[in-house]
Amino acid sequence: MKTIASLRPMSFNQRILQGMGAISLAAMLLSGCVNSTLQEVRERETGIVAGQSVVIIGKSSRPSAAETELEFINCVADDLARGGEELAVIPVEQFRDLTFPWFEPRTAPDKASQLSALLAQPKLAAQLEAVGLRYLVWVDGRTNRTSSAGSIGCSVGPGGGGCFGFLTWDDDASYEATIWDTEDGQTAGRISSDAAGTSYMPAFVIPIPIVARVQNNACKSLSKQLLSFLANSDDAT
Amino acid sequence: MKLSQRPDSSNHELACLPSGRLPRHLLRSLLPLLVVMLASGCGTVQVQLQSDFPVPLVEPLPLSVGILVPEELLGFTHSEEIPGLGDYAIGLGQVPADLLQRMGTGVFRQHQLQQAVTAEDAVDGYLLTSIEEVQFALPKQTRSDYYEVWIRFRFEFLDQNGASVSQWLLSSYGKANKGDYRGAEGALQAAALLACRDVMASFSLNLASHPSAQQWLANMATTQSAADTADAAQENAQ
Repeated sequence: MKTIASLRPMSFNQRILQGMGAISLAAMLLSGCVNSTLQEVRERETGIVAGQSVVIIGKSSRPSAAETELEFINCVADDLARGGEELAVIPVEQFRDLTFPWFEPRTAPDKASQLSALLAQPKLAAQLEAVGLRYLVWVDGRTNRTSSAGSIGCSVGPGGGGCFGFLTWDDDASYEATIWDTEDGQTAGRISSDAAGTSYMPAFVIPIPIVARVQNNACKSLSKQLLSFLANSDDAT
Repeated sequence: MKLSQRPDSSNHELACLPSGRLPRHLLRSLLPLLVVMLASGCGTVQVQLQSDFPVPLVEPLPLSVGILVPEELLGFTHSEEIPGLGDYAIGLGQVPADLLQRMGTGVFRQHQLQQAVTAEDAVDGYLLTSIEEVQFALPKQTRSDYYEVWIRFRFEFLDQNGASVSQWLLSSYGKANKGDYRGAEGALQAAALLACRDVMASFSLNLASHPSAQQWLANMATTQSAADTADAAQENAQ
């Protein structure tokens, strides 16, 4: 039955559907342009050896203030874990549970200078030593939509449906990672990653999104630079 | 990104139908969709908390405390109707018991969870917990990206006989970004659990220094010292 069905000529509707599928696939492969900028400030030498670990934490603040997206934090942590063979990255939820209640939004230290007092807590110090934590990386910032324009209209009828129009929007991602060294309780350096891009969505029967992956770009750039920073090499700069 | 639909275009298509109405088979196929859309617009958002709290990493106070968990605390549900945004119900379930169990493990040398004070209890004092108030805010109300939950706990410190010594009203807060969760249910649950962690963190780190607790702690230390002295005297007599 399958062979017979496949030999039948395609109907007009099937050809339309196939065409739409091809366009959709092409659209998925399209992406908008992103401009990104990286800046690094090193305050002291870094380095990491086997058995030491890193945690990436988003800055959490009190009511109604914007905070870094969980998706971005996880993206940086995953990229870092994939990028460094000797680098163990502790997932942020696991870290918060292991060190509870010292890194909750209300209790987490604001400045590196508070780290020494925190490390004087015997139980916390023992726990951090057990997990081999060497660097705490605080990530601050977020991705914002700076502008959007255009419109798309869609209509459905008994004979089919479709969308017509054009949309465009600009996204701006701005993040800063501050690296604390738990060995001396000092800030080791800062890396900032900024990215901006314009996305488009023309619609002629079906909408074709051409998305600028701004946040993803900022994440990739930051994690690559972070990896280089922690290893104390200048490959990624 | 904003998708705007032209209201006149669909009307135009419908007007082109021979009868001017939707065909029956189309109506039949659209009916379940319409029902789902209507139901989702005016349903109740039920949030049932489930937890796995960590034990606070603090030096335990050298005390044995009975932590009272009244029945009303376990079945606590906050329900609220927000005009235009639907009904919301946040049920804490077993979360308060789990929270107090983990907190007691970290904060006190010994503790036991119980429903009421009994004469047989070998404890230095009691801690009675209740929830005074729960509030929450939705992103549409605050025009932000966050679901926010506030919980006000009342910790009442009782002496060895169950008499009230002092109390501590402790407000906790949790927020969850709507972008990190699929719907209101998940985000409110996350925000409420963060509020529970917040109260655990505050209580664990500040109990010994909080003025409301100091009298209770001093009383218990005195009672314990007297008991130790009596035990020592008894041992010496034997």
